Amino acid sequence: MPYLVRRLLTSVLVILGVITITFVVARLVPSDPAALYAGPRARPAQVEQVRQDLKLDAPLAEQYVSYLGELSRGDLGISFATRQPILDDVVDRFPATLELALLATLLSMVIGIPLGVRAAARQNKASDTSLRLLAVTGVSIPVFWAALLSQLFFASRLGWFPLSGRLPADVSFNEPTGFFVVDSILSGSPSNFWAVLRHLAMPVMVMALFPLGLTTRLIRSSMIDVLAEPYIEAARLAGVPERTVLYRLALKNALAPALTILGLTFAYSVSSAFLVEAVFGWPGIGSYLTSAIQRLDFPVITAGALVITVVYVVVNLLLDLVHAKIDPRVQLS
Amino acid sequence: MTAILSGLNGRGTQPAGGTLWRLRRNKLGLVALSIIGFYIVVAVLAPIITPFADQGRGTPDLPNRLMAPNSTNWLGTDDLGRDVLARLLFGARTALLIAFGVVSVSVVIGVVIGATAGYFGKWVDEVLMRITDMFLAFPPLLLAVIVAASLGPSTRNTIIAITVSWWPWYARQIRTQVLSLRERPYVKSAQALGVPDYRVIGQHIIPNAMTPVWVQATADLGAVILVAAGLSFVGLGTRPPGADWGLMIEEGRSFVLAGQWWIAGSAGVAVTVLALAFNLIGDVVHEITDPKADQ
Amino acid sequence: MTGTLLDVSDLSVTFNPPTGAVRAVRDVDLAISAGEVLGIVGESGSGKSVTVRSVLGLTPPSASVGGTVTIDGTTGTPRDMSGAAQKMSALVYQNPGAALNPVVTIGRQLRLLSGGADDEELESLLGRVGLPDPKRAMQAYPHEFSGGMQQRAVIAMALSQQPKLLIADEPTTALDVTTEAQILDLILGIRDERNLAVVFISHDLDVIGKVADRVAVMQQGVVVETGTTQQVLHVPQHPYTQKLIASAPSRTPAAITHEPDEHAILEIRNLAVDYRDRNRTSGGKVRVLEDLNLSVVAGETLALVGESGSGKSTLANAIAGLVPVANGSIHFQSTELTALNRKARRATRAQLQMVFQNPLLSLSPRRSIRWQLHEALRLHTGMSSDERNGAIEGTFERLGLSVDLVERKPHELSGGQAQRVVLARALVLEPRCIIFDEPTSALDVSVQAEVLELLSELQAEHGLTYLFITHDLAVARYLADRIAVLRTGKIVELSATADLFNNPAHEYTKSLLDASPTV
Repeated sequence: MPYLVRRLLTSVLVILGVITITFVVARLVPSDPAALYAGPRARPAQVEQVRQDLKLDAPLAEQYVSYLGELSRGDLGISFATRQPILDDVVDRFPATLELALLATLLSMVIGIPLGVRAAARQNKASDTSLRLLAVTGVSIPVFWAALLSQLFFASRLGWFPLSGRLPADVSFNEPTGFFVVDSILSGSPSNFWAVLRHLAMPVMVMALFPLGLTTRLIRSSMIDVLAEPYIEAARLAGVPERTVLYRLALKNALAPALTILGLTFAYSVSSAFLVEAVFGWPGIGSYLTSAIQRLDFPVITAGALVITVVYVVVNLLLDLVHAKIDPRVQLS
Repeated sequence: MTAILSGLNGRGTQPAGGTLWRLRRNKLGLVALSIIGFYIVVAVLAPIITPFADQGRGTPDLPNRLMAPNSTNWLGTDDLGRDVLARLLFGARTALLIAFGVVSVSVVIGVVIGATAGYFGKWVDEVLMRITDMFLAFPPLLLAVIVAASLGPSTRNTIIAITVSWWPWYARQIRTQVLSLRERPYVKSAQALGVPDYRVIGQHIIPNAMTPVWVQATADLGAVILVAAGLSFVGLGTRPPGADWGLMIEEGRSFVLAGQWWIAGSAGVAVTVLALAFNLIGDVVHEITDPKADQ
Repeated sequence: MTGTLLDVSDLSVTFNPPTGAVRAVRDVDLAISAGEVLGIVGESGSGKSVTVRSVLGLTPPSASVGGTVTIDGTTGTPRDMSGAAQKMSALVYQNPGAALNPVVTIGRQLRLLSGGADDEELESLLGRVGLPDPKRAMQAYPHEFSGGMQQRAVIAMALSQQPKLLIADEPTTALDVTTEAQILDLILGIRDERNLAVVFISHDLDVIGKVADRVAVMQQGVVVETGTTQQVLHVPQHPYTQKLIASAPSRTPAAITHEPDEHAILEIRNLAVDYRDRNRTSGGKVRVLEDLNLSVVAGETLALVGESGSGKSTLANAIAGLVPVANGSIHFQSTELTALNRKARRATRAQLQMVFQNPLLSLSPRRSIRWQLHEALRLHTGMSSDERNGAIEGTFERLGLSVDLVERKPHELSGGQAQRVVLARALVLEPRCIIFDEPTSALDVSVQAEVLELLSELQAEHGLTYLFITHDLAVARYLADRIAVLRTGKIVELSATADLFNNPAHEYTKSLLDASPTV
């Protein structure tokens, strides 16, 4: 079977599995979903009515099948709290999260890869040790705490960046793409663009902290392995300049794991979104999820998790295909 | 998460007899080890160390709300007047309980699933690994979030929720180990001798497959502490009046910008330092058990 | 000395790991001139590679390196001279797969390493080393090549740097005999064309005898003997050299002859074995053995000879029941093994034992030797613990092993001891037949000779039957009554040992014999 087809099939299977797991987990809820939906002051008869309306009294298998059916029609269900279709909210908020996650991923790769290469090239020297300490610190700080600290110092004390939100209240422009970096450029006003960047700065930096540490460490360790290979020794013996050895001969071998990190980095950004967005009041999927958690709005929690996971699976699929292109040993026939 | 770190380099199974000995020669490792030892001692002795043990367990002391650090309350008091240091000490108990609980249960599940899949191969492997993949398909944190949300917030449920999302990493790792070990001559010798499968797995394979898993597990303790803190920060973990660092950051959050930084500040430092120590230990252990480093 | 390209004197290398200093090389003097092949021979750990690597400055910075190196009339410490040494030399590695960058095309690697030679030049170089389609090879990635082709590419890469000195570190050890012979010819041919100096490192006396003009014999970090190849191999002076040469199996007389029973003890009928290949895009199975028939007569030694990939280890695994059989049957003492269930089959295993390649890896790393022998005995006998200890002691004495060794773990044993322990584990169950899968290929030659001798003694004593699987014709000749030649899953020839060597019937057998250096 061609690699592409096989990889697509496994992705479909995985998504199906993810749906199943979320379905099962959602049914683990010890409290009665019908009672939750009906609200705290509902009488037993009303709760019973809701149960029938939502088909919560049907056998589990039947519920599962109709859940799959709804999903296939793009129906993510209705929020307990707002009684609005979840899909609309998700579509509304997703670009904000994606913009944040993509920029954080980009930032951590652009800084992390050269740092990792540099640390590996000077293994066990002082600059390596300090880079490693820095990287370990990056993966050890709780992201929400880093968010609070940056608010305290950069926003509250120094006033460099706005405290929270995606835009100042008095700025608005058309949002054809939902990515404000793009939209503000399209609006043609440099001040809009500047406002967008100022609001993005802190959340992106905070979100990039963990993946940055991760990238640096992974690139360092895979570069160290590669640099010990005989073919690198042979190149050095032949007098190939060290820069060429590092960036043109070695890095390409270390990049296969780097692609894995790219996926991971993105995953981290997306899944730490609910912590970061909550602190910065960022109107994305993450803060949507956090407020749903606080209101025990289960349909939103499962649907939100599902959407994020599916995006993650698709991103991983794309990365694997890129990987197959870079590394000739992976068959892409 | 960091599981991948050594997953990528997962190799080598030489006996790790000298690990501890070599760890003692590594300055960074020694510092990290001392920090962890300090946290464990402090957590165990918390009720004896602090004069505010009741407040550490959650009893409010409303007259002393939001006191800045002073000679009585070294790290100040929180919005219910409780001594922040006492809360931190009891929080260490929660954090360490969750970390060790999650990692040990996950390792057990991972070993069983991974060794079975790797040893028997074929459809057993196919089925078990496809299931594992489905769990791994969730971005980190997210599966723990929905499980915790479903079960309801509590320390015990936090352990369950994180474990559900954690075991697949070990299953993968063990499977890779077993796949390479089962081709080793000593395993084939045992099979050719007629040693039953469960003994081949239990006596000949698993003992030799564990070194990289312990390395991973050590590094993961730090990651679990961070995840647990995240969960309680959004209200999915330990509930008040329980002592938990993530919860303290959440409780102290609204006071930070008003200048009362000590609640969230000290809890954040507590989390970061412990996670840092575990991550460093993981790094150092990884390095000294890596056979390539010997040459 | 005029014409000397590289002169090394008083070289010593000491490693300084935290566990204490280790002197790897002491007082080594070597000199090599253009057009000369210097062979360095020694067993593993004798310091052959360290010697060369320290001259090239490839030892870790923590190691201390002493002595002097002279290149082109300039003399200095090895560290000072390493730059000049690197400049004039190129390395050919043992494992060609690792010496090529897997994600960069051969052409690009050549261009980078040659420092800007044009493509035409590089293509002609690839042609010279015997790659059939140089244009295509430039575009290829290393994994598209076989091991032999990869080694050719590595040699081309070395030559592209215009070296005066080619250092080949066990360049053919990872290759089949046929390919080995071709690569040796290639290296000699290039030496002649370019008047290259070649340092050829090997553990294999036969190979050294074929390529080297002069030989240095190393033992435990010291050069114990140097001289022309003629002198060293035919009139060895040093006792260690004599021992090395004596233990090379091909030079010992043919084996003791047995009088085998009439009936087969082990019989293989129409055997076929498939391997599932995950990497194949077809996702299908590969037939490794096809319609294989073989019967081993009680009391004899039957050697099964073949190159890697011929399926010989698969056959061993099939007899041991470690891989499923696709077709055919295996009979042992008139029991059809392939028809037995697991439990019934287990009962036959004490009688039919397996000994695998690499004895150190055949013992469970974390268990004491006692534990492992007890496990075997507990499984197959009803002995009490004391009886088991008695049986173990008896077997150990017979094999010349100290009984104290039972408390050790495998990594505390030497290669020779481990091999005997593995034999003890088999013999303690008093088997009728033992299947050996390359049992000596991981051992140094001197140990190998002792083990082979021990095997034939044991056979005579206990009336054992051996099925001996090996790639080494010399070993087969020493031990076997009959030899079967296996090629791509089929037996192409089966005859008495002497007949096979004197009158090989099959073309493939002939080419094997030709390629094998001194049999």
